[in-house]
Amino acid sequence: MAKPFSFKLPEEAHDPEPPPFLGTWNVVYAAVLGWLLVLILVFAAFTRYFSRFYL
Amino acid sequence: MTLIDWIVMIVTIIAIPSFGLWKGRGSNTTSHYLLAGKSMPWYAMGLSIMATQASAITFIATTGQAYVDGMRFVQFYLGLPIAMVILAATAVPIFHRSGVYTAYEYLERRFDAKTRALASLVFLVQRGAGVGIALYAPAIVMSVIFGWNDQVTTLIIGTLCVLYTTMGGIPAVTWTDVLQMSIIFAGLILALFTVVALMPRGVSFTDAVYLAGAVGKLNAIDTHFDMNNRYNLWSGLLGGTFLMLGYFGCDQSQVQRYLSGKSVAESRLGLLFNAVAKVPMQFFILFVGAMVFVFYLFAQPPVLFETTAMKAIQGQPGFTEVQTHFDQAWKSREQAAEALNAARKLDDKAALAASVQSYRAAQREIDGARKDGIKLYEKTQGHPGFNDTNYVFLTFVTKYFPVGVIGLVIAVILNAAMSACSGELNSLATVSVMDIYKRFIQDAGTDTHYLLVSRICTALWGVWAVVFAQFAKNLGSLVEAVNLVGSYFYPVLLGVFTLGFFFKRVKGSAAFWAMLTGEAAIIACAVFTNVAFLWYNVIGAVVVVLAGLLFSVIFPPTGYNQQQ
Repeated sequence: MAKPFSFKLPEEAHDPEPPPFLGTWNVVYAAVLGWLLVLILVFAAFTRYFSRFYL
Repeated sequence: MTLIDWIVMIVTIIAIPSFGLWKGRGSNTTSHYLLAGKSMPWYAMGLSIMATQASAITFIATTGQAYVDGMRFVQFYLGLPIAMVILAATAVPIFHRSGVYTAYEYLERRFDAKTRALASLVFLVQRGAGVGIALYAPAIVMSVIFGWNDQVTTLIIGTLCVLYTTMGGIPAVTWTDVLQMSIIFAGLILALFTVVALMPRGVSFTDAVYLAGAVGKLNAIDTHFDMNNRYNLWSGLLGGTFLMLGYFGCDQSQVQRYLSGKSVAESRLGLLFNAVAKVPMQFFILFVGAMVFVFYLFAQPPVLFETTAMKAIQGQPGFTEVQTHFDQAWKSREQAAEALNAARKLDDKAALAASVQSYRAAQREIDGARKDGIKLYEKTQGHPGFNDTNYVFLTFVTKYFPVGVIGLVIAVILNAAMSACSGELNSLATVSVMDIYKRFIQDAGTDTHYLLVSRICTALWGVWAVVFAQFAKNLGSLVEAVNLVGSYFYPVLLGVFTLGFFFKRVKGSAAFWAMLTGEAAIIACAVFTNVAFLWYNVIGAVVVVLAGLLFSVIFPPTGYNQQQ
């Protein structure tokens, strides 16, 4: 019997086909999330720069 | 609009769907008509996903929002890349492997028929209302700006959209979206170059950026946590992730895009393309709006951008005072902006600090004068809630853009309306045929039969969209309500798909009742609290998952469900 609150990635989610670049999907996902982090930092710097300049 | 603008606009909006129909020709099986025979490359899917999500209002309202409120709206999209990664890792391979036509078909395989029916119904109600509004919203703006008859506009755009969607199915829709999105990108870049080129002599691009930043129009990130603040970093990252998971993972208009991919890898890349491109695109659109704000520092804007509202207050007592106050406030702000620009170039810190203060004070003054104009209009109408942000960008475009560019920008907006509408029509038809007709009415038809029914359903939903759009004007606040109610449903769908993907113990009845419990929780939040709507997505999805786990104890899996 399954555990009442078990949580795991289903088998169907695993795909053997590799991405066309960066080797594995996990690296591709990390690159996308890294891009998001860069965007947030750039937007924060953008906001901070213009606020600081005039205060 | 001049004759050249009309030619540019008409050629653009006819040529693009024609290209889509040509590229998508040969939709002679149900699989090809509804899923493009699973043959789409990643870039076509990625652009189509973006085009379906970006309605006409996205372009005209977002720029206006930056003009009025600055760039903080970009935070709304920060959860999108996270959601795309989660979906690429989970939903894409699961949906692909299961060989389904719709996301809700998966729910029957995983749970039961009533859960599938409930989810399909939720989608049909929500999207059925939304598809009419996608047509109506730009038409009403065009009617105010150009005096076009909004019913004729919706009829023409709707008919064109229904024709190519019905004839070509998803291949035509996707290839049309690809070209439409390319035109939209080109139009946005052209709009930015044009607005910068229109700045008065002595105001460079760098000056314009500083002037926008000095009054907070470039504040893109707010790190202050506040549950009642609609747009901050945390609501965007957490609430936005849940919202985007619900939209891209559970809404058939999006799921159908990545189900049409050649392979799991192509579908994943389509979503990840969106993850990388969407946030910068929204930032860019908002930035155009901020530049429009700077333009209006040196060219006097109207008190109200909606011309019918402006005409309504012009004869009213108190209007002369409002207009005089606004004229003086604008002149003061113009002088303050020029003084600030000069002080910045001299690098005189004391003068800079003083000029910043007077510039900001002048901005507050003109904001106050505009608010007086809004109050006057609301008083004449007898109800509050007036908002003219949808009219800012188009007013600017039609008054100041060069001949030809106006036609292109209007074509971009109408294209956006068509791409959003066509994607929704296609998905509504798919759910109607696969989740309702084939499942509950006629399950033994031939492929030719279902192809015919799919075309008929697409046409019928198109007729519904055009008819709904004809009457939308009379619905008033109902239109807003429909938009708001739409955002109430995604968390429930997200919750039930989460149960389906990750919690094997939870079966049919538990999932069904969990959906209803989640919906009740969202309604309770909306009625009894002031929590900003992005948080409903978190609350609703979490309640569905917790309730599903709880109900799985109350309704233990038996018989057929247990074997599954």
